[in-house]
Formats: sequence, structure tokens, C-alpha cells
Amino acid sequence: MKKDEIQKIKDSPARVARAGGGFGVIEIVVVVAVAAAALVGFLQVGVAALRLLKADRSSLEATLLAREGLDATRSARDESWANIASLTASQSPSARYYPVVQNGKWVLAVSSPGLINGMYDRYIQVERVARNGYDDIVLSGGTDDSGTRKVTAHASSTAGDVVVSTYLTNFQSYLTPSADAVSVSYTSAATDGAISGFSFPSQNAGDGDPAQSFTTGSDIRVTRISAYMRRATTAPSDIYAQIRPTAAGAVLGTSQIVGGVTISTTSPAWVDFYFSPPVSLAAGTYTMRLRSIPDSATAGSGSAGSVYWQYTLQNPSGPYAGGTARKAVGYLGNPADQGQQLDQYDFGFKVYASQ
Amino acid sequence: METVVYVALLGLTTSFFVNSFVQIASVYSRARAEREVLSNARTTLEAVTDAISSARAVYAPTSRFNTDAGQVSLVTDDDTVISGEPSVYTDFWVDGGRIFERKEGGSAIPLSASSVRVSEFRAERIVQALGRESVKMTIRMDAASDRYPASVTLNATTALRGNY
Repeated sequence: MKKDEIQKIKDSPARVARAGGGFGVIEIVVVVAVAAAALVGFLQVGVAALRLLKADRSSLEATLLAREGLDATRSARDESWANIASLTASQSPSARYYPVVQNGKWVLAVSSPGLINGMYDRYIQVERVARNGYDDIVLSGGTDDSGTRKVTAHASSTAGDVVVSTYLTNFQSYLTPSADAVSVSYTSAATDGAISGFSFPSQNAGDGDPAQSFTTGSDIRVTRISAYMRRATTAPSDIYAQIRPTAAGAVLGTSQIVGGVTISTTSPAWVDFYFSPPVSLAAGTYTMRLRSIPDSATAGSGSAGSVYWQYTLQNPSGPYAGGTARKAVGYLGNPADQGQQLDQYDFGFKVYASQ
Repeated sequence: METVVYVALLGLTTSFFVNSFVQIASVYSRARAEREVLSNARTTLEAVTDAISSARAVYAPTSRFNTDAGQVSLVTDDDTVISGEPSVYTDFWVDGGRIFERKEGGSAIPLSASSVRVSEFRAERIVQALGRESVKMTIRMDAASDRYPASVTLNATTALRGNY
């Protein structure tokens, strides 16, 4: 064999690789395994981060619901301390109360409204508070403080139970509250049903609105109107009230909206429609008109009913001498339509004026 | 024969790595979507509830309550206004899937990012008693991209207390 042929064999890649140890299958397998492990690690970190974020989301939703439970209780306290004090009259700290919006305001119900957002069971518990001789709150012993309650709100789900608590005091007993009083009313309405041939809110038919006129003998500033009503269907449209000189006259005041689903369904109740700012009325006759969202006076608007505004039918004229009921006001979108006057009917109402 | 085995192994390995990369990218995108939705909803709700708590009154004529695309208009006492006008009007509303804020005389400022879509901005005015008013807010946000779904619904009730 020639010398250059021998050198060519020595320089072949396979020989060089074998001679130098090479980059073999074992190394490749190790590198691939390390890379795979790193990838799986990254994936696990990502999955864990996703799980933590979802837990964070649930925790935030639950915490806000629990805090809202405290705010609802605070609102009930702002309305009247009796709303809170009465919860512990039987002194059962384990009793659960469920904050729900009913008749347009927060109430603490004894029965559960069901899961919120299909996930969270929210309720509050109220405990009595005792103080020692230095007015410090003590966990045992001490003297009962009738003007303080400990409120604990829970929002529980399958992910856990979020608990927040606070102390509420009856500090408003030291303040002079804004006051209003009934100025004009008809409170004896007892017929629980719809006036014949008329449903409110209209079932998408544009049948118009109900109204009741009233007379004030002096100048007043109307803070709210209460209507005596009951929800007759599962989800009627939201409603609000307006004050006008006549049923189709210019709007003098518009109340806040009361959620249709929040109106009591078991028995009639006084539903408050507040006017902010109050509506100033000179002595005379005016009309309160209930409206709905979507609009009951517009056919095809999507309005759905119904709510029963309690009334009295009396011959030959209605029992309230200062006004009469009306139905189908604004029928089929006609803003000038005063509807049908019902001389023998009166709806139950109260008109409150500031003191 | 060896070549076939090597090619098969190479294919399997490549497939594993590609699939892993896709999975990682997907998980991190979903996590990012969750984080975007969560942080946007949290900060937006805080901005709205802070404004409500310091407001003196709700300005009803331009507010839209009890609807999923609501608007809240607030009247806030502000003694720092140079013009001497003691009240400042602030609006919050949803448009094109984003929540905006505008203070009187200013321009609209988006509170939520374009990476999320506001599907519910519902305000409910609750009057508990004379002079005792609060606003119940419900904000639902979804990821703007349908590819990585993420959603959060936050509730808060805030009493109007004025500047105290």
C-alpha cells in the first residue's frame, strides 16, 4: 500500500471520530432528556401559574362579595338600627342572613336566594358585643353593648370560604336624620290583581302605563312615592315612577329604578320610589305614573310583566277623593295619550314630603 | 436499518419538542389572559367605586342604570377647582368593550386595556332611606381574544358619602 493511501485511511471521518471519542448516541440521549425535562418544567410552572391566577380570581370575586355583604348590612343599619338589632333578638350567632336587594333596597333575608354567579353562597352572621369598664370590647364577660354588633360576612364556594368582619355601631342615634313624612296617601287598597284587560309592565304590546292622580293642599317637596304592589311573574321589567301635572304632562320628577325581580312576590309591600333632588309641588292636583324599562308604552320594546299595583274598586266613585286611577297611559307610543280614566278605581299610594 | 431507527427517533423527538413548545406557549398565553382580565377588572372597579364613595350625588339625567352597558354620572364636591366651581361632574361608561372615564372639561380616558372586553358594566342605584344612597356595580370582563378565554365578574356596593 502506498504511503498516501495509508494517510487517507487515517484521515477518514469515522476513524477520527472513533479515535477522539466522538459525539455518540449516549450524548444525544442525555441532551434530549435534559431539554425534555426543562420543557416539562416550564410547562409545569405555566400550569401552576394558571392555577394560581384562577384561585386568585375566585378569591377576589369572593372577597368582594363578602365585602358587599358588609356594605349591605351597613346600608340596612343606615336605614334603621332596628334592622340589625332585631337580627340578634333571639341571640343565635350561628343564624345566617342573606343580603338581597328587595323592593329596591338591601334587606337581610332569612332564606337563601341561591348561589351568586352560580358559585358563591353569601351570608352574614351577627353577634352581640360586650365591653369592659374601659369601654374596650372583650370576648368574654363584660357588659352587653346594645349599640354595637359584630358582623361577619361569608362568601363560600368549592374553592373555600372567604370571611370578613367588622363592628357596626348605632352612631346615627346621635345625629339628626333627614326626615320625611306622608303628605298624601290612599292606603286601603286591597285587591291583589291586574285591572281587567290591563297588564303592567306590558307584555311587549305597548299597552301603556298605570297612573294615579293625587291632590296636595299645600306646597310640598316630594322626597318619595310609595306604591303598594306585588310581583306576579318571575322577571318583570324594571320600573320607576314619574310625577307629572297630568298623566301625559311634562315630567316634573323621575325616581330611581327599582329592579322588577326585587319586588316582593309573596305578599304586597310598599315599594319606595325616591326623588333626588326632591320635587317641589305647589298646592294642586298631580299624577304619579309608573314607567318600565323597556318602555311599556312602546309595542315590541321587550317589556315583560307583570306587577300588581294593589287597588280598590268602589261604586259610584273610587274611595280616594283627591284623584283617580288611570290605565293605558301613552298607549302605543302616543305621548299625548292620557289613557283611560278609571273613576271607580284608586291605587294604593303614599306621597312623602320633606319636613 | 439503523438509519430507519434514527429517523424514527428524530421524528418522535422533534414531535415531542414542537408539541411541548406549543403547550407552553398556550399555557402562558392563557395565564397572561387571566392576569390581564383580573388586573383590569380590579383596577377599573377600584377607580369607579372610589369615585362613587367620594361623590355627593348621582347625576340622574345622564346616568343609565339597570342595563349591561350602563353609565354612571357623579357629582363630586371639589374645593380645589381653581374656577371656583364647587362641583365636578364625572362620567363612567362603556363603549366598544372598554370602560372610559371623563371628568368635567377633560377628555375621555380609557380605564380598561384593549386586551380585555367589558361585557357587563351594570350600575344599580339603591336608595336605602332618605339621604342614604348607594350604587351597586357589577363588572364582567372577558379576554378580548376568543382563543384564550378568561372571564371575571366583580360586584361591589358603594355608598355615596361625599368627601369624607
